[in-house]
Amino acid sequence: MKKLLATILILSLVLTMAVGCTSDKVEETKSLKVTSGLWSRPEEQQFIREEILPGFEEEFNVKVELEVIDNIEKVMEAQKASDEWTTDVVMTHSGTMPLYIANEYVQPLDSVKDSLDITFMDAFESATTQDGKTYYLPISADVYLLIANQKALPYLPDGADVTKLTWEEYKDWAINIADAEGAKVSFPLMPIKASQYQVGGIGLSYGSEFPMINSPGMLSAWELLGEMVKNNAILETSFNYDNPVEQMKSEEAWLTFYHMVPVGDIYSSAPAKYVVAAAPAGPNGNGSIAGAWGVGITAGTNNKDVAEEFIKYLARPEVLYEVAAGTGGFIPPVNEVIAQLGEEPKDIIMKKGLDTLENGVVSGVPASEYTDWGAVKSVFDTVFQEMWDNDGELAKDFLDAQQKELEKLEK
Amino acid sequence: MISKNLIVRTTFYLFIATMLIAILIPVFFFVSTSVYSEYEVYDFPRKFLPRTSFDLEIEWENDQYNLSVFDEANNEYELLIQSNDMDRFRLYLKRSLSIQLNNEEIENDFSLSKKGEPIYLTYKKDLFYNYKTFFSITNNAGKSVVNSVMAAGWTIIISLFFGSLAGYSIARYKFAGKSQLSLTLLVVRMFPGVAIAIPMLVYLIKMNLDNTMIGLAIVYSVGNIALTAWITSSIFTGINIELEEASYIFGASKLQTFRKITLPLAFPGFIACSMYAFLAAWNDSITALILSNNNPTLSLVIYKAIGSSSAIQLSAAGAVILILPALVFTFIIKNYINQLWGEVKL
Amino acid sequence: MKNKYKKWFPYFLLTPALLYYVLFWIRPVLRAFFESMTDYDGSFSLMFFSKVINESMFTAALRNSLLFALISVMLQFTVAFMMALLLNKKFKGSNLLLFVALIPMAVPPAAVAILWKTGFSTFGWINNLLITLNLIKEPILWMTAKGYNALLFLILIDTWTVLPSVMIILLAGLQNLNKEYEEAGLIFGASRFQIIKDIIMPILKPTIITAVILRMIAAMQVWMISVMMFGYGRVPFLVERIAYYTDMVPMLKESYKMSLTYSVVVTTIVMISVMIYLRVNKKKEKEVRI
Repeated sequence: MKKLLATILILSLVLTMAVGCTSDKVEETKSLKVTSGLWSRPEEQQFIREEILPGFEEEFNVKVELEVIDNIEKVMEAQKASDEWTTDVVMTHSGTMPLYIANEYVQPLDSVKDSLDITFMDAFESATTQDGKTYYLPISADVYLLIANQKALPYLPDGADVTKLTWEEYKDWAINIADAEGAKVSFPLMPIKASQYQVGGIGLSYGSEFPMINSPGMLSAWELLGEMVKNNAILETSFNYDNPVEQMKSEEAWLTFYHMVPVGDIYSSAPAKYVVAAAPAGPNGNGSIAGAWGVGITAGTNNKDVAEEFIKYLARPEVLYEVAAGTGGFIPPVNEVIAQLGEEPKDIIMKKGLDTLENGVVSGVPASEYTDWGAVKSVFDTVFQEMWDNDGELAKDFLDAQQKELEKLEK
Repeated sequence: MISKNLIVRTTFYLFIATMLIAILIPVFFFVSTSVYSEYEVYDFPRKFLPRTSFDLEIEWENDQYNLSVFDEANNEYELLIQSNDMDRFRLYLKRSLSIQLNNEEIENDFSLSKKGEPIYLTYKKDLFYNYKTFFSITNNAGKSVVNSVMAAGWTIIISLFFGSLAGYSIARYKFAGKSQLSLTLLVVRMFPGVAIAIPMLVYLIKMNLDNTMIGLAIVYSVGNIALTAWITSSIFTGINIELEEASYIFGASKLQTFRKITLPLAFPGFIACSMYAFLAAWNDSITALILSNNNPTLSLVIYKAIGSSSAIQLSAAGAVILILPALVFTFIIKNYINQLWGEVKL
Repeated sequence: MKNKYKKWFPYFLLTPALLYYVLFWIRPVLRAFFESMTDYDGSFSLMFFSKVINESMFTAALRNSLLFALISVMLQFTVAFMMALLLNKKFKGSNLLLFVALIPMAVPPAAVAILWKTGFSTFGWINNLLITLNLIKEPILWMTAKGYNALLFLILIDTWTVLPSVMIILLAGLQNLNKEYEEAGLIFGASRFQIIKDIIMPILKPTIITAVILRMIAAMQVWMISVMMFGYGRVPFLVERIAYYTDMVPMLKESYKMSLTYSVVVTTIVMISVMIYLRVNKKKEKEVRI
């Protein structure tokens, strides 16, 4: 009985506390909330908060709150559905921009774009615009790079230069290693992630467009990969990963061709252990898919003018340069800044990335041309699974059928 | 007779040992991961215990320092980084090896190798580097703990109140439609939340319950009321009805009986339900993200700080921070589940 | 007057909970039912149910969800019951052991994923431990498990997390078990096993049924652990398909309706399973109130 009384007392205490401090609907004058999917690493968050934001805050007398989260889509969906907009500025990747535009999470910002005096790369035109209106400004681009463990170098084919490889040489290299040491190539194949970007880059090197399944360039790409699979060069555990970081850092894998951010992560964990190079080349050049992170204004923001100023601030060449140099692994797709960065690249990742962006065969992610980009990825996953199950072989009929599936998804 | 006893006792101890190993080993490795430096996460094979220091070899060659770390598995030094930039070393030591030094210290120590011979240094690793990193990128951890406690508290109160009323009625009364109604209660647990999460939360936002802890508790309680109803119903059923009847005979009212006889006997059941309620509230981050982003719970703060990072050791540290209060709660209530708090057995 | 009041009293106790559902839960659910039974233009149509059932992965998802539920509930109930009986003995240190047994329940889902993903990776802590103890020479590739192996793999991981939550329900129920019944059994020469089977279990029946049903409902809706370990579509489950339509391909025309139709299908399957279980138990039920 006493115990019961005590419990009730404690509960009433909690109750009073709760009643006393319910709902602090924070009201601040002149504040800006930025919700970003970019800058997920603590160092990057810290850098942006300490080195980039204060400049804006002082100049415009605004308090900026930056939050970095993974699935912003759900947050946006809830804000749109409830019409309670707490986010003012949003940063998302080019793959999901069509979703945001179609669902009206963001509003056009042509006035901002026109007021700027810089030239953006065209590769991201289709992702950031729709019906002639611009919804995003791309402030950070990324490409795919090659990274190899030094232990793999002795297995290079004769005459091959790791900084200037062809895809044929890459394939022979992988097979040489496999014959001696077992599979050592990481080719992340977790469903609906990045399998299509890896093979797409190879396809570009052989003259294909992206995304395609049965073009001549892609047939060469599938054949190349198929031979690697047949000779057990690719790690089966690749199916469980969506990036090669764990496999490369633990040395389960020695070789991979992947997005420059994880590549940068791997490289910086022990720079002396790895060699980083631009994408291998095919007859048509070094192919790579390029993605971009863009900044946009939410559709229902209450701080539109402050948001516009923020975007203009971020788009200043010197700020873009600072962000690129300080966070590492991202390249502003602005021609003026690229020129400046190219003079003294902060590190090798940036250098190789710039090289690919400027000189390689690059394609953006044309997600806006398809009803659903996730479904497009699924088609590629189906091909990979079939290739793996058939020991590297892919029938032409099968590929033609998958191409049809792909075309069904076109808008 | 003796040998039978021995078999029983051996099985008994074997069972306990298996339980302990199966639970404590994964927990141990998880906590270890939370104090690993980035290097250790991918080291293989690694020692059982996390490192407390690193043995480094510094060599001056071609106008740069070569920094290598001692790899016990292969009994040799492994080259990690080459540079002559002290800033670069400082950041590298910090981020990959959890070693915190400033530029001068590094310069002083390393320059000894300029004499020509490689030098050997042992540096202490900062075991709590991951935790410090976490706290450096969050600034409202304190308030968020209070929020989590409030959300959990409300969830317990709401679930227990609504649920036990329903549970008692199912246990003690016969009425038309009883089995159908008790099944209906469970429907809230049968409908997958994935597809209806956003619409449900939008209704709550429109009711002005966003950014309130009671709003969160309302969401968390939806499933927990059903759970509490069924658990308390089974517990009430197990309480001998003759005890209550005896109490009436002695002149006690229905309410007095409930308070003095039924409730104390049902207490372990209530504690079990509050455990579920507490954890549902404490561990959720997605609902909190959508409903109360401006008034975050601890789980949300951790999710935003290191949820999207690919650094496993950091995520592990965040998870440990989140689990600790939950463990404290569990430790306090464990006695009440097992009725070790008093003699109410008859 | 008192009689009339008495008749309505149980409903009166149930009403708050039901009102709560109406206020905070039912609207999106009704909408889901509506969407699943209509065409794009709003006219009545069961085509989406047909689409769901004819999906390439539906059979696999259904099979996996049902098998997972069956095996995991049997496994978890048995072990949890043994643990509850053990801890009920209240020996020295049993409360500390109870605390340890409860730890896995307190671990958040994201941490569980990290724990087992880092554990079962090729150079993860499980292989690390096995190699250090000289039990294996080369790392085992756990994560390449396919088909039924993969299912079993997921069941084991799920069991680790979920066991304590089943156990506390049973343990709470055991507290009201009168020790005299057990003693009477011993006096009459019953073996330990017989006592459990014929005395404890029948009395504990309501609690056992509750624990099994709650676990069954949850087990049939397991999906996240499959996605975190293997990715979408590799080891399909019913609710995993819902997550696929909601999160992975949200812009397809049919995604919205497909995810809601799947939700309705899942609810129906779970409800039917629970009703079957209750019916089977009712047949075996004898009133064991002493």
